Amino acid sequence: MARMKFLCDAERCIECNGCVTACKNENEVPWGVNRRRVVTLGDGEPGEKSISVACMHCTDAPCAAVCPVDCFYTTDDGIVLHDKDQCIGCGYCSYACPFGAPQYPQQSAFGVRGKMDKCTFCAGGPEEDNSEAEREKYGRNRIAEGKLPLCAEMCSTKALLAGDGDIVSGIYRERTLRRSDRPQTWGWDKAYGKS
Amino acid sequence: MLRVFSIMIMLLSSVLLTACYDDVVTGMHAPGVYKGPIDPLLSASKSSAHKERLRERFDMVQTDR
Repeated sequence: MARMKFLCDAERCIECNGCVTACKNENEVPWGVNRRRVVTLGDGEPGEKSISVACMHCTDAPCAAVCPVDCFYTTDDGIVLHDKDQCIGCGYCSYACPFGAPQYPQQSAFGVRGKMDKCTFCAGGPEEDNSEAEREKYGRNRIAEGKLPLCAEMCSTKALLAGDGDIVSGIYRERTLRRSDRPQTWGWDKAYGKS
Repeated sequence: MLRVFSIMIMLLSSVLLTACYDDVVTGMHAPGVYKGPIDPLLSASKSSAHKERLRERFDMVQTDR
């Protein structure tokens, strides 16, 4: 059984934040929430590396393990989703997640938490596929339309990949083999292999 | 008189309380069991046609070129 996975190639990511913008636009993500973020290590220094991070749709998801109301479920292809009607906004999942994926919208004053929001791999929620309720609560359901997450589909350098984990890892393995052997140097050869 | 009145009050309150009964189904906590509505995507994603569609989409949009 194929499992849907994200993979970000640090050698290719140019920190354009296009994935972040695409996600926010496609899913009309609430104010104060970024389902996807670009993290840069050694920012401004030679050899800096950036990766795009969102929910990693873990096999043994810690968010689901700690949820007191069990509002999480996993699809057959490994996408971790949640039901906002069951969520009580306790915040346990945000403490448990090592990637900071579960976040809370700033809906009102005094830091009141709303329902948890996180990356859905563009697969919506338990409502009817692409219904108004689903779109309002979770964003667009591209998976039901036979499409893959927009963040990866519009990545200009193909740094961010999203799809069947076997195919994604195969592409990354191939890239690694093609790359030059000078790991400290960033350049075309390093990112795209010698032509 | 007071005794009759208090008996009347007790009888009346017991009759009124019966109206408060509501046959509810209590959702008992079962750890790790999702109790929300079933996502229609779960059944759709089982079909091989859906998987093939996603694979074709991946080849079309995300493969190296």
